[in-house]
Amino acid sequence: MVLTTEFLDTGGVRYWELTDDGATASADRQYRPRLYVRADDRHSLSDLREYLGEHPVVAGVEEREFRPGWREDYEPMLRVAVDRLHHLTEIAEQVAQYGRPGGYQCYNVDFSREFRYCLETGRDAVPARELDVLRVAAPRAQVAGVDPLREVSVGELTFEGVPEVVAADVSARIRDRDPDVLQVSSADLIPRLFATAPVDEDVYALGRRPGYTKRAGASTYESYGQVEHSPARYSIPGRVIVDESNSFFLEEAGLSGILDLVERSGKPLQEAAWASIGNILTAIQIQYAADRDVLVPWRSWRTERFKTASQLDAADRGGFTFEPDVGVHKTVHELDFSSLYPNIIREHNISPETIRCDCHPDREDVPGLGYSICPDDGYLPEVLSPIIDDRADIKDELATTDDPDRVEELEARSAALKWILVSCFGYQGFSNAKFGRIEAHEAINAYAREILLDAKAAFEEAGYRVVHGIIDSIWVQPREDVEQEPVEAVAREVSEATGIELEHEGVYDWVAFCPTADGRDGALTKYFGRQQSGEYKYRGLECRQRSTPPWIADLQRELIEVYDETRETDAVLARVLDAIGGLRAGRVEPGELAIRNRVTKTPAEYGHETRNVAALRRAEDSVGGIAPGEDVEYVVVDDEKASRDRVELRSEDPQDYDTEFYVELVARAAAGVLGPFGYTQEDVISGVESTQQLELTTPR
Amino acid sequence: MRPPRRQSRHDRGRVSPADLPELDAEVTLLEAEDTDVRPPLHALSINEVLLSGASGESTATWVDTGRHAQTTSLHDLAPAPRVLDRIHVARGFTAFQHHALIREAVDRIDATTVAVVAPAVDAIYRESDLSRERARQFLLRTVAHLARVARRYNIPVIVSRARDDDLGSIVAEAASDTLTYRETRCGPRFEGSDHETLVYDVGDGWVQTTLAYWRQVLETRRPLYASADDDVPTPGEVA
Repeated sequence: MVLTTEFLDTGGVRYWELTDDGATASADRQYRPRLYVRADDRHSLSDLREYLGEHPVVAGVEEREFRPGWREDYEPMLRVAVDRLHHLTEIAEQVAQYGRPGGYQCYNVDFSREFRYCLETGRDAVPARELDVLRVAAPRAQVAGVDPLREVSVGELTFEGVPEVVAADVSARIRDRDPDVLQVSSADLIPRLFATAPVDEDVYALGRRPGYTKRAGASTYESYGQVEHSPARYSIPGRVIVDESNSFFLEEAGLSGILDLVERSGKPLQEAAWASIGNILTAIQIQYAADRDVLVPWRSWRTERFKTASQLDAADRGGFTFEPDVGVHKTVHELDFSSLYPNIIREHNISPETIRCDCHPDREDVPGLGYSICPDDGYLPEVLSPIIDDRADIKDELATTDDPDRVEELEARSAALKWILVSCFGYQGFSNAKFGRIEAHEAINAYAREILLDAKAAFEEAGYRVVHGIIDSIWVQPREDVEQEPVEAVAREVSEATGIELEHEGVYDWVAFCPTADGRDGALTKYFGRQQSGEYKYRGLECRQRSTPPWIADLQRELIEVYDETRETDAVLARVLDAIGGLRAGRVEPGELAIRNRVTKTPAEYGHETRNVAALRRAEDSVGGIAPGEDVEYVVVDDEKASRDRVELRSEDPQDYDTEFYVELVARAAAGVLGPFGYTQEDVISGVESTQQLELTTPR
Repeated sequence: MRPPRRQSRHDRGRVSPADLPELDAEVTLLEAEDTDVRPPLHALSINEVLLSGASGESTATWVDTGRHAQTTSLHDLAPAPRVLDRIHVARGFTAFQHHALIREAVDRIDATTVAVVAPAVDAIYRESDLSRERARQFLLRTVAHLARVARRYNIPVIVSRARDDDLGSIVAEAASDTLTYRETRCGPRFEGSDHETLVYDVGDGWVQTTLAYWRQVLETRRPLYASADDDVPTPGEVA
């Protein structure tokens, strides 16, 4: 079992294994990372073998048989061992240039190091006992270096005072507690503690030996058109670092969710904690491939097949959508296909190597596209099946268990698996995905459309009208003039016909569909309503957006309740007026008006002097700045200003706010609720103004 | 380049066909001045397929770059949807895939292939994680393949480029002719090395270069596509 590893300067690896009451280190000096090379029919392996055999950083070259892809046979390849990890890419680049483009292709090049070590040595990364986790945290300005490091909490203790003493105390406390995992408030706390310590960096210890390693610098990158921030990463000997401020899975699924992923992906805990969803999904597939001697291409040379422009046109259509009529609808049933995309993959054997296979060119399986799907089992359904089944089992157990600890653990594991399943569809269409294929993506989409259209037809047949639908959910309403089959019965029929369960999510007493921004059509993802269970549902409204100030979000939810009780838009407007009155009278706590935004760039990179920029400049002064990928929270105090005085940070405890700016936000939130009744934001404002005129001129 | 086929413009009560340049069996770079090159590129390509024969007789092979030269407007331009069955498309999402597709396109050429289209050839090489020098070498091999196609199979190859820089100039140098597309007061105009084509003056002084305009252009040329009758329904037919 491997808890964590260190790649040694002298070559080889030191790895840590858990014992009953701690961990021990062993050195594996013989370990050399490996890559593989395949030659096409224009090139020869022996030429390359000769070249690599004399290369100073190559530790060994062997000719062995491996499979370059899922449906491909074993063929001779070169297995190249290199002295150090960083030589892998160096050699791969040289090999790629050795022949004509595509002549020599490299495999198993870009894996994360700890995952690689486990994969290549067959060592397991699943902890054999429960892990001891210790939380280490410090205030942000102290971590950033704006203020001296005077206050660090370690578990339940807090050390305060002279920075050098605090750093020494933190180290001593960690040594005494000897945890397996350090959960840090921010990874930057690691180098900060080392820099503050009264002793040298190679003597000071937070790990089970002194010292630390910087694994990656902070960087900003773009993914799926969104700016993402990758923070710096550090590791320490013998303990796993989990960075609270930057672990997607810690936030979504907790440590038990991550541990589930360790088992499935073979990624050691530290790498699983900082991994993205796609990264975990890839690791799961790499492991599955490695078990079958299938190698992982470094650069994707596999192309999509030529198709006709009409096929492309059909394939480019998005998922199923059925635009709702704007307004309030009574008695509406919502039905969702559970895990639609993963289930389509499983049900229809969709996999990169089964779509448009060579062996069955005449089959026309995929609806609307006419692609063939090989009847032999594909690997993707096999990889996803246990995840789909385990998640279903977890949901079943959740339905019956009352133990709060167990519920928490199951929910965490379910959340981790949900994200893997959600991403497997998009991943197929992602150009850099190691195992993705655009045709698989298109086929999944085509089946999804077909399934939703079939479900729509079934409900219409059974006496319902479809009022709304999107991707994997469909909303139906009983028609007044005919008798209906029960919703559950229709859902059962559809489930049986499609092989995918259609779940009855709930019944709305009433649901209001909002218009699009231009007011012309029904928006697909903006609605609110009350279910028969009494629960309110909101989608796409301001109150669901994380940037909306809490006071505005509360107000919007209240407006919906007012509507629910009175069914009168005038009553809603009256409450809006009341709220604006409170705002103008200064009765709102400024902190409740804080806007929270994710930072995507540094202040210099923003083109305009926005409120965000003003807030970031203030943050530079007070807490040492806020890095891309993190949140900034501020209250608008004078929106007329362009300087940093336009806003105040929530952490500065603002005492005032810009009334008219927030009146505008109220009007926007109100228009969100009144949109289904034909009100725009301007209507709300003029409605409010005319009422105020009336109040001013009408004697009481 | 051959002069464009001239049609009588004086038939009353009947719209005369718009002019489009005819392409020679060589690599032609289509450049657009201050406007999107895609609509004219797509119109020229469809025109080439329809001019050359009926369904089953003429096809085009199209190597796309995924994000840069999306083929969606083909659908809006096609005078009959079935012409889309005769354009064979594959997209390279990385430089490696794009290069491999160009090589594959060469293998796919058969008696029905009347044109090869490769929009924004340089784009994906510029964005790849390759060093600039390697990207240049790589792109050079790609355009060499395209030039060989025109030569060996004696068919037109239509290319465009995303930028006019060191990579873009590799594409320009490989082209035997450059056709510059310009929107003038009298309507859109193609200028080649030895002649000019005014496409179609809608006569109201307004330069219309929307997809609807190009659709109309192809529509007026229907008589020229006589041999492709089975593809082009007469007005009033819906299916």
